[in-house]
Amino acid sequence: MIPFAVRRVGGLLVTLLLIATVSFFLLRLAPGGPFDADREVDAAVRAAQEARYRLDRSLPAQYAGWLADLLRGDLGPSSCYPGLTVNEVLAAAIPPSFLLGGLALGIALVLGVLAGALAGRHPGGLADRAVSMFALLFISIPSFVLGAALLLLFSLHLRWFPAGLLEGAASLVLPVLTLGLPMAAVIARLARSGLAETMGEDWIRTARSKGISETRVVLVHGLRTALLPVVSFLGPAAAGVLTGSVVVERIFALPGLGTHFVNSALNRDYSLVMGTVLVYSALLVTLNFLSDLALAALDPRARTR
Amino acid sequence: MRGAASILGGGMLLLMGAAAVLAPLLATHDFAAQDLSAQYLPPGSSGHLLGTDLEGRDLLSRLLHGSRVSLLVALLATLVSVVIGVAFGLVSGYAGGRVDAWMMRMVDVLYALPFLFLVILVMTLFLGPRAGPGGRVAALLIVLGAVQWLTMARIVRGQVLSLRSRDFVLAARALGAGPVRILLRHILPNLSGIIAAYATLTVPRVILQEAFLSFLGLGVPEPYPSWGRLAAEGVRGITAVETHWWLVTFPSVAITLALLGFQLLGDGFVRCAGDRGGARGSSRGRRPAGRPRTGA
Repeated sequence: MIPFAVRRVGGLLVTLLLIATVSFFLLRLAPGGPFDADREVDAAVRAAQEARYRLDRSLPAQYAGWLADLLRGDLGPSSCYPGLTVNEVLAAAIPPSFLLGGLALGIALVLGVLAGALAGRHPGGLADRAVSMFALLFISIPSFVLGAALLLLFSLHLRWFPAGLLEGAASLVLPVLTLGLPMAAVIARLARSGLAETMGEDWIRTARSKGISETRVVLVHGLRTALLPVVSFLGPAAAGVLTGSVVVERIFALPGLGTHFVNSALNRDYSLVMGTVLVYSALLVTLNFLSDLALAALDPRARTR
Repeated sequence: MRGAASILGGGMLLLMGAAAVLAPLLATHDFAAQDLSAQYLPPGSSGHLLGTDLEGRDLLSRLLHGSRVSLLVALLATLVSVVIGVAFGLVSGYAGGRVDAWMMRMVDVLYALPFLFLVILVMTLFLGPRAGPGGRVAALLIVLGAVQWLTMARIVRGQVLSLRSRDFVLAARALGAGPVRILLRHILPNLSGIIAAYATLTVPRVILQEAFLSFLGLGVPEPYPSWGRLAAEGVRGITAVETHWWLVTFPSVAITLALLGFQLLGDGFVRCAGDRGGARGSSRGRRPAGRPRTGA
């Protein structure tokens, strides 16, 4: 278990470095720059700007400088928010985004596993059909449409929740649901098929024949194996939350990472794009790692891979 | 009951396909024609069955033409992903050993990448307003296809692993057939069912991602409509004062029905491919599950 984890952490860092490097060069290869303006800027001003953002050096020198700064934990100055460093911009944007994503992931897990357990207990039964239908429906709705529908119904029509901005717990309800429900649907499908398969196994019959209550059979004996696909889905689910948050933050006007990511890419704010990419990929790689670790703990067969 | 769902899905898709093919005949208006005297007409207004948008364009005509764009983008991008995924899976599974291990390790690493961010980066950075609509659509196809091939590669590789030691492959090799011939003429035909199944399940994902990009303003360019674009325009038109519900509802219903259709059909395909036995995609040595008990 420990060597497995150590091996994975090494691979993790290499993956992160690879992502950072590819994004760095992709950004610099693209046409356009952060200081392209409609009118000509004075040469001295331009030179000063470029020197501040280290754009006057050669590409490898820029990369080396950026990497050295990164190791000291400095992501550089932002060019579309003059006067702010990327560290400051990210420090303000990370807490709301993480709160939103964490809550959405949590709700998706709870709802998805419960619904999946309900459906998988009796494949073909009424609960199974109802859950499968709802799951299929939520998978088939684009997240921004779901968000708009929730907004129209609960915020503009019923006026139960605020329509946007991050002010108090009530303002989080709709964004979290928008982000969490489609994922809950995927998890429910995985848990359902896992449980339906497991409930036919011999050890389930053995457990039943020992007179263990049905609830315990399902929750303890059945779900442990049935949840393996759900656990290995957590990595991709985290990716879904991250990309979904871009849309949700837009609809509900939340001040988060996703908004910064798109804006900074459009404005060629190189250091801010790199900062957001790094945060996103670090998070994703870590969650993938945790999901692998949990999988290895639950299923010894996965450790050899 | 299960078969009925797939047939329903297939029927929905046939209808949509027919609507897309016949769009020029069915559309009552030019999809790009603006009429500023007919802004935001509600559904059922004179001559506009589903109403009009901000520029007075007919929503029904835009939806019909949008189905062409959406379905075409989805099918072509899926084709790109199938070609990459199948080729990768065939080579990896047949080569085996160290090559296989490295190729699959690469897939594992790629799975961990935030791909949609790469897509966003590529679309914003390389396709500014200067790029023509043709270039943008082509880039969209390639980029969306290029991020979807991983699952296909894994599935194909798993199948090839179990097929390559079968007697008919040995026989072909004994007759002097090279690896390319064995893969394309002997192994690939055996995989057509499962490839079709997972390709069908890739289509809805691509449609969703195209809608996602459209919402961010990075999808199919003006003036061409796609379902995702139409829905995104509708969502952006929502204010606290007016909602223009038809601009959100009808495109969303179109997207949802198409996704449901592909999902139902794909689920049916997967079940067929699984029932026919043979090698299953799972590499875990679990015994194959029987058909789920019904009733109970």
